[in-house]
Amino acid sequence: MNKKKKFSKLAFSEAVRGYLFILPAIVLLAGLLFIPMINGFWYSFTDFNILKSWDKNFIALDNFKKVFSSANFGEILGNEAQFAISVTVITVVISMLIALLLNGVKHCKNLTRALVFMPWVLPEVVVGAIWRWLLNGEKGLINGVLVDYLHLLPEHIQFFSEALSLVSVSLVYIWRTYPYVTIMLSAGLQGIDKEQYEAASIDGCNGIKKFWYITLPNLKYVLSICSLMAMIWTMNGFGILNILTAGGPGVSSTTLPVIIYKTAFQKFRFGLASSYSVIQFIIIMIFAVVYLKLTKATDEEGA
Amino acid sequence: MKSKLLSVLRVLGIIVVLFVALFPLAWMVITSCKSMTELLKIPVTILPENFTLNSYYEVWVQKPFPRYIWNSLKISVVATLLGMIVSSLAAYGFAKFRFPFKKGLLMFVLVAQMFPGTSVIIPLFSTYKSYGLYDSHFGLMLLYATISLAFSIWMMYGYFRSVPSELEEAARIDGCSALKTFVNVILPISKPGIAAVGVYAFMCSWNEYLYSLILLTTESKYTISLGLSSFITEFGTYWNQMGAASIIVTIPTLLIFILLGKNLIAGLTAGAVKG
Repeated sequence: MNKKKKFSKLAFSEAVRGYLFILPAIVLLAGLLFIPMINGFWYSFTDFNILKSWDKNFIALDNFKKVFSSANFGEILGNEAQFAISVTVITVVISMLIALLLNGVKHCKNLTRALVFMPWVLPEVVVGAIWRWLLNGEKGLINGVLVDYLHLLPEHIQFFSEALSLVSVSLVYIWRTYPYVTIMLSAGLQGIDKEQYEAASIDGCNGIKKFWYITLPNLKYVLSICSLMAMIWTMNGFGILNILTAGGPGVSSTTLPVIIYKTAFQKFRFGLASSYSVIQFIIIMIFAVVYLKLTKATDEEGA
Repeated sequence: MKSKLLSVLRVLGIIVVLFVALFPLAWMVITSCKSMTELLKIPVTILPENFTLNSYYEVWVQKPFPRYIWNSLKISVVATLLGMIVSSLAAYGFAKFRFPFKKGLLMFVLVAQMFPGTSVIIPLFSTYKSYGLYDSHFGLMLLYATISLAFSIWMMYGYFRSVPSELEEAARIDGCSALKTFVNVILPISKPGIAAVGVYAFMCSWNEYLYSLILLTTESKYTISLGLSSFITEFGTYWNQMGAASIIVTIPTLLIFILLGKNLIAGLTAGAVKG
């Protein structure tokens, strides 16, 4: 009895010390991310509009009714889906190819990896500015080379027109995201046991078969984690998008983050913007739960 | 013969990959060395006809860019240091102590990095207004320290878990407190991990755009991201100045990445091989 009490006292003091170590982080995360998030939920049920007053009157589901009956909401959701899915799928495919290429590099391995990684470390505003200039309708390099110098196309492509803006934005986000996925996949490739390939060679497997039956199954975990991260980043993407098109022309490249930003900080309708936020949050959390399930499962295996 | 062809193809492939990764930045360098009249020409000139570094002068002397850089540097350094301290403490707590709700709290940390910035910023804006943190660098420092926190904690958590417990036990027997053990024994052997966290936190702060866009209004307090975006106006953009400014703000990121990028890549990919 006495011994048990002493033990629990020890466990108690260990727990206290543990809590003290994590306390500053929890305070910051709760204060600047979680509590604001909960406040946002509350705002979404109010008529909060800072142009009128700082009072928040409860108006039940009026904001959500407004959102779902708004003419553009369907198009915005469609944009978000198209944007997130196309960026994620294309990024993962391209990154897989590049990772396979990089894996065979023998000279200057670290330098090559670092250079490939470059687009990921640039400031968002710089990425947006660079591509806005490269894709400029008349004076951009891409149009200049394709149309004026190589005469491959009859006329300049309007990358930021209503028809193409979402595609152009997606291209830039792919350029931004692929380095991260490439680096992760190439690390994953290096972790695969070489003996598996040797055994397959003896059995007479060709390269494609080896990729399908050895490489892909081994990369399952990294691939799914990377795809989810890329998906969540893209869905939350705002900076580059805002610099490139600001969601326009019209709503042709508007996604949820853009409409949240515009409703909140151009029209100052905080309540309405928050209801868009809640919808965005719910979508993200679906993916977050999948992510947690994945990491949790492997964590228990690994530990 | 076939393998030779394959290796040639491989080299070509890598050249294409590197070209796609690097030419946009190179184009910004070229653009920054042109005059504005040359930039209005159609078709676009590939190399500058009249090489000039005038745009660097304009950005550095006529525009308050040194001011923006100083602001960003100040905010980023403080946020990085704060983030490194808070995240390594928390990661150590998670890695080495047993306490109730640990799993739940770790999940809480992981989920935090997925929150959409545009959702958090609305309530944060009104909180910052009421606590006097709006339009202040201090408010941004706190926020920037927080945004990289989740990622840093997870990176360090993996790192600390691989540190053998015997080291700490030896220190404890010598009479060191938990904090002392952490500072004197664990931190010195965790330098590569800490460097990775530092690089990541610095880049997050230095590159951040959305929060500074909303939480700063006084021009003299602008960060580099805001300074840069102010070049894009509805009346047209001085692309040569934009280019020069982009190059200038990219240099610190690049320097840090060249010096410590290896650590960052190692830290990022540490979790990639399990599973």
